[in-house]
Amino acid sequence: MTADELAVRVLATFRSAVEEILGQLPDFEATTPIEDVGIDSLDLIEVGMIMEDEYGVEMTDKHFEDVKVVGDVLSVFADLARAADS
Amino acid sequence: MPGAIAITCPGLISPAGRGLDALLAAMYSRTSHIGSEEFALNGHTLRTPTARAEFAPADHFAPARLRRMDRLHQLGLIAARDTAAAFGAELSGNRTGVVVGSANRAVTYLEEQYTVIQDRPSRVNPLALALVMGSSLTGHVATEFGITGPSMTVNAECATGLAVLIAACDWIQLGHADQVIVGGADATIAFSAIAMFRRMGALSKPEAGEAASMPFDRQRSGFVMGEGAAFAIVEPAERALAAGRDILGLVLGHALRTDISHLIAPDPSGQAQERVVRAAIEHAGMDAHDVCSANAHATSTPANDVVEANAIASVIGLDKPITAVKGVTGHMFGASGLAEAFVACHSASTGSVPPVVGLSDPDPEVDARLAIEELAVPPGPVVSTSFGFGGHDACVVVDVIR
Repeated sequence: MTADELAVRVLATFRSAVEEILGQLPDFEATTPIEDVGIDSLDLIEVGMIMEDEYGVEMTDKHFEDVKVVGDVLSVFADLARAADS
Repeated sequence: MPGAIAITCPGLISPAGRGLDALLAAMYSRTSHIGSEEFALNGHTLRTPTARAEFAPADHFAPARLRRMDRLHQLGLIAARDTAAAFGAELSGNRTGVVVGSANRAVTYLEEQYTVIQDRPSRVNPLALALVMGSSLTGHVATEFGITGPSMTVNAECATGLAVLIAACDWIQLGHADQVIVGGADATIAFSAIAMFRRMGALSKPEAGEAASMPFDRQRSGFVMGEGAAFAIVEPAERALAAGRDILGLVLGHALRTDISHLIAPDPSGQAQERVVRAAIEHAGMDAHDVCSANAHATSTPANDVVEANAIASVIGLDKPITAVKGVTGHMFGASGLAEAFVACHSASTGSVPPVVGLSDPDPEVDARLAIEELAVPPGPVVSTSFGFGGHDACVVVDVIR
């Protein structure tokens, strides 16, 4: 899978995880702050758990320490997925 | 009536269905809502009689919300919404209080999450604690209706449903709130709870089937795991009348006492049970013989029923009818006390004492007038009792405006 393909897949997983948790899918971009998506810090952990299942990876608290915008979450999971694949 | 405290806007979901009328109809038609279920965990199975409150969660809550609720919260909010709808005015703000309780918390969800934790601790749901903590239903109710006044979670085990009512009466009397939404709920039908209650010998025999809950009966062998939620508004009677709300009943007197004869077993002498009934009647400023009938806790356990019936009769008189609800519903734990107080209000209003479903052959040790059939007495004050593990004894005296 190319980096672009992986990015598309991670974004799709993120969108479906947010929709599952909030019951709706708000508009956002990579630069949207996480809190503006409407998910709080506990929701974000749940989003992470859904993405863990999707990619067979395990995140730690450290992975989300510096997460501020949607793009940060997508990067964390793209990196984890790539590492798991290699 | 000045200063009288009213129970209004009853909301109820029980094995008999939605609302107080469904429960009363089941009592009068002698319909038990008890079935039997088998539970499995780690290759072990348990079969036990149960009394389920039937409802479709998806009819009441969006999927995203359901992910964050135990059955306890679902039942509680269904009943609380019925109460809020009947109230017909804003509950939001500082002048509404919330007193809610559950005897056994979100035990089903706790079981699920414990299984997850055993496998991989990091996979526990980040909101798990918020669901299993004792105050979770209280928070759900306050949030749902925007209530920012005083709130408190009560656990008096099986007496929780009366304890919330009593606490709210005090708040109204002290002026802490204009109205208090009170409620009790439990959804305890889970493997671990069944295993624990069975091991202590409290549950009805597994093979008893529909006849498993039989208060005061010679053949009773224990209680049936039930579930449900009861909610109401407690407010000054004058305020309810001014707003045009129907008053289900008035709380004339109430008492909480503690049975210290044993951590969980009821006082075999009946003195503790007698004490709380007498205290509630004294609090009402009445003569004990003015009480017209009683609604007993009557769990269908060998240890409770005879002692309780005899204790109540020794206070209010051997000729006063005693009924009980759990033959219909099994034990709804935190919901039982309030649901039973609703039935007591019905008897106070009408003078009709509904029959004890499941009772056909009274224990010969009972020296009291049990409602084997529907009985009629003059409308008037009724006592309702609840006794909880930990020695929590509660009693209220209810009546209606005449």
